Amino acid sequence: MAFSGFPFLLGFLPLALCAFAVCARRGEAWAKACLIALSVLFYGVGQPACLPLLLSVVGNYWLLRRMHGSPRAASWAGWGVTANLAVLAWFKYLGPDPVPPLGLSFFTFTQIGGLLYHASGDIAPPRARDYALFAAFFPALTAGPILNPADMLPQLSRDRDWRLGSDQLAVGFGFFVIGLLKKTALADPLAGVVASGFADPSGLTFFPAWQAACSYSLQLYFDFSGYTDMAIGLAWMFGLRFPDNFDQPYRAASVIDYWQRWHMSLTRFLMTHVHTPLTLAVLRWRRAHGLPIGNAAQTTVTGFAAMIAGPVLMTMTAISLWHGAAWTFLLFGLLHAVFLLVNHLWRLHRLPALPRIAAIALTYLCVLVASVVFRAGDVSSAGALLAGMAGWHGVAITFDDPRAVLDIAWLAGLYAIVWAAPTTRQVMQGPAPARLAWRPTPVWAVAMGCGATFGLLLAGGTGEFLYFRF
Amino acid sequence: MRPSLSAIASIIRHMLCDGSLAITADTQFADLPGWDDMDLMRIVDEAECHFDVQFNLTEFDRLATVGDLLLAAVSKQVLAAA
Repeated sequence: MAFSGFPFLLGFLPLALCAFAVCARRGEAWAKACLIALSVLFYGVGQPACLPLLLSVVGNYWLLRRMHGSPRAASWAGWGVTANLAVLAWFKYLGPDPVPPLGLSFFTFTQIGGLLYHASGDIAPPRARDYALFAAFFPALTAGPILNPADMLPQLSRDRDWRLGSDQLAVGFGFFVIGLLKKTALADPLAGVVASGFADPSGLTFFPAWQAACSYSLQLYFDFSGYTDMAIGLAWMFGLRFPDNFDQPYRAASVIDYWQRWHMSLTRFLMTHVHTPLTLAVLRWRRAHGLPIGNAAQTTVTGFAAMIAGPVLMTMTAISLWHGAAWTFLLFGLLHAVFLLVNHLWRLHRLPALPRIAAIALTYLCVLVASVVFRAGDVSSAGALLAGMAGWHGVAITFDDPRAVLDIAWLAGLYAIVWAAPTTRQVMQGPAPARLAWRPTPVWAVAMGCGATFGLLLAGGTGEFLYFRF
Repeated sequence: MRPSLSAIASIIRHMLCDGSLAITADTQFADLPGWDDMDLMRIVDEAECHFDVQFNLTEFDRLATVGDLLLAAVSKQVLAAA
């Protein structure tokens, strides 16, 4: 069930808020039970055949209880992670359906994070209802953000008033409406250009190829960040705080910087559980064998390969595999690994920094090229579209169709938003320019109401989100 | 060696090749000039060797300030001695 679809906007959300308002009056246990029931209903309505997958919550919770105080906690965690990955791998790579069950990658990674957080055996497991909400709370269930146990579990266990509050409803509604507008007003209108451009890229000349690539890059950003804003807003309405998933990624001045701003919850997960342990293991091994680990050692071929390139390649391969079993995803990960390694070499050799605008433009160009590979149906289609962008299919410029001029103007407007507008978090919580900073005033109430109406009118029924397929 | 702020500051200055860095317990790693995530791993590795401790990933993930690293190292040594 998409957050921007009529079934959610006109059915599930009002029902959820009403049910929660009634239950939360009876205390914390009722409030949480209500949210768990709503989450099961949400998933069950969306993909009833996959509802049994939520039983993984029970299995993982059983493991957490087993691990607490056990001298074999790390071993139990290892088995748990393996089992979770096995289920994920089955549905993503081996299962009969090419599209995996809704949200499987997201709630599996959230639960793996929970297991690894408790792997020392020292941390007491949360209460069952807190764990159920951590693993399967409906706003994050289908497309993240991937929740961090260190952020979420203390929120869930804290003693507080769970009743619906007007403040949290107002702020949550603001996040939700801005996300809805990003999705329906900014991302969805690009879908036609993207679909036609990527359907037959071999015939695209210079400008249409760039139009298709830029449109996809913007569609992906507004679609996914719009979804995240809606998820953050929904969680806020129920009194919970989700982490940010985007921080103006297309303003990044390096590819390292980009990955700290794009899909931040996945980056954080993989940095914590793949990149950091690998790098620390290499550093400890080198120290134990009397090998240097300083900056100078990182600039040597073997030092760079061991301490930088190896962990980066492994992490980017993990990102590729997380997205699915396709050569395009693997190539996407490898391209980003190369960009990151060039970035590290630049840093280690203390080469002069580019002017900021040039650095942002170069970073965005790298991201754009990789996003073409990410979106293309296969590697040859990606090559054809990139060839078109390089002008190998001709550079015919025709503005006979007034629609083409409008499309270019629309893209320019979207880039202005990407590069100049504050983030949703800045609008709702600051800092943002005074005119754009949300306040609980009648003017903002009217603006948000109009935004919600406009977003609803544009929603068109059952819009799907691009990241649902992962 | 017992963990101390001066010992950790010395490690950071050495690893970042900058003897003039002003470091307090409240210093955020991310605010150090030219900071990169790789630097934290090298500093932690050096601190582990100096203080004869080993941090797990959960502890590593919580290191945001110099004071966090000092506290984690002291806690590890106390636990090891107990």
